[in-house]
Amino acid sequence: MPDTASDPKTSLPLTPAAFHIMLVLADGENHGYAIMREVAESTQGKMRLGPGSLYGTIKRMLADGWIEETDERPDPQLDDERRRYYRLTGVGRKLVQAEAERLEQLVNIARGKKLLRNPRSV
Amino acid sequence: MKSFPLANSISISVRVYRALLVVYPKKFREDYEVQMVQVFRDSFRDAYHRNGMPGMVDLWLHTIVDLVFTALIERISERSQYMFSPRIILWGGLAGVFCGLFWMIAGVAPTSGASTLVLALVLGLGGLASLYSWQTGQGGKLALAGFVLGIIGTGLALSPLLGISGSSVNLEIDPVGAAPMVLLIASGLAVSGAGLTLLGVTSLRAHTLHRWRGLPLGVGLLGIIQGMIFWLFYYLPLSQGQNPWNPWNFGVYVMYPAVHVLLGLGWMGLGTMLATEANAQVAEHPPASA
Repeated sequence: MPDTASDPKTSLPLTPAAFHIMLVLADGENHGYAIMREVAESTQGKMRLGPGSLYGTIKRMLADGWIEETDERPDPQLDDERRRYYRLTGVGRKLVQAEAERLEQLVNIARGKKLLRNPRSV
Repeated sequence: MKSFPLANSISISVRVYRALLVVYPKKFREDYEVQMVQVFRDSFRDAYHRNGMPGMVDLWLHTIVDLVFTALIERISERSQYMFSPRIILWGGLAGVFCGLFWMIAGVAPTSGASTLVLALVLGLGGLASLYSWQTGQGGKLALAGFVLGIIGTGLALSPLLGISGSSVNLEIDPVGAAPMVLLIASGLAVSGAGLTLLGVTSLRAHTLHRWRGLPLGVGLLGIIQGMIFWLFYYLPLSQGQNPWNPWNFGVYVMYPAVHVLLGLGWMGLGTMLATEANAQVAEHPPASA
């Protein structure tokens, strides 16, 4: 079969689950449960990832080379060694930036049509 | 005392959740079962500490919905991966080689009967599947449309042929009655050729073939021409009650064999290329035992 390496921007828009997971990993490597909790907290519970959604999305992002597994543990003494940690790859970081820029453009359009308040006036 | 019921409910819930994971494909379970159970256990403990019994019920409801939807997605994903497997490409490529052989036989020995055409069409489906799989989804919706069109066209062409091979229609005894069936064959061949042409275009655009890049497009166009020949040199005379096999029907004695031989050679070349490339991949990356 042919090579599947392609321009990351062709993968936009990202699914909400993938974008939220990548936003968490933009701060540094993390494990599944911590990703799940941070996504729920940052969205005030509006985005709840179940174990199936979490690992299904992680599986596809690993296959596409957007994230990678890491063997490093922040504190091996305190942490469960069965946990797997993930981090963004270079391609993944570019992709999440591109998605954030795409969404920013949409927000600017909505703001220009007076559908959103100016952030300074909030 | 409070930790005992929690430990119990965690233990039971985790066991039930682990048992429910059987709905996921085996490979997915092998890769993620431990992590999913661990995440569920942590979530359960957290839900209990935050909201007690209502929190646990809410977590279970959310988990069941998540499990059903994501298991379905993983099952579909597993099927589509199988569709793109080198083995499908290899066997489909070999079917394409034999499809070419039968088109050549149909061309040089037109009296070989409907069964030769049926075999060529059925084996051509394998070739189509191989070519579509080779594109590994890079052809996008256009390639899928081509693949579906190829299947529909083959089905159209096959339906009257299966009737003819069952002797329900005799072209020589009832030419006018047979004309609609020949029209179906002609249309089916042209539609199937159009499908292959679309796959040829997507192959060219996505650069999915390493060599002979224009071959699928060429074979597809020959398929359309083949449908036109059936329409022009068989359907038209039959619809007017004439015998297509009269010595002056240039199309039947020259065009029909020529196009079929070319089509046969094209399919044999395409099938050989797909089969050899896929065989090299199977040898390089043998599939993990299920």
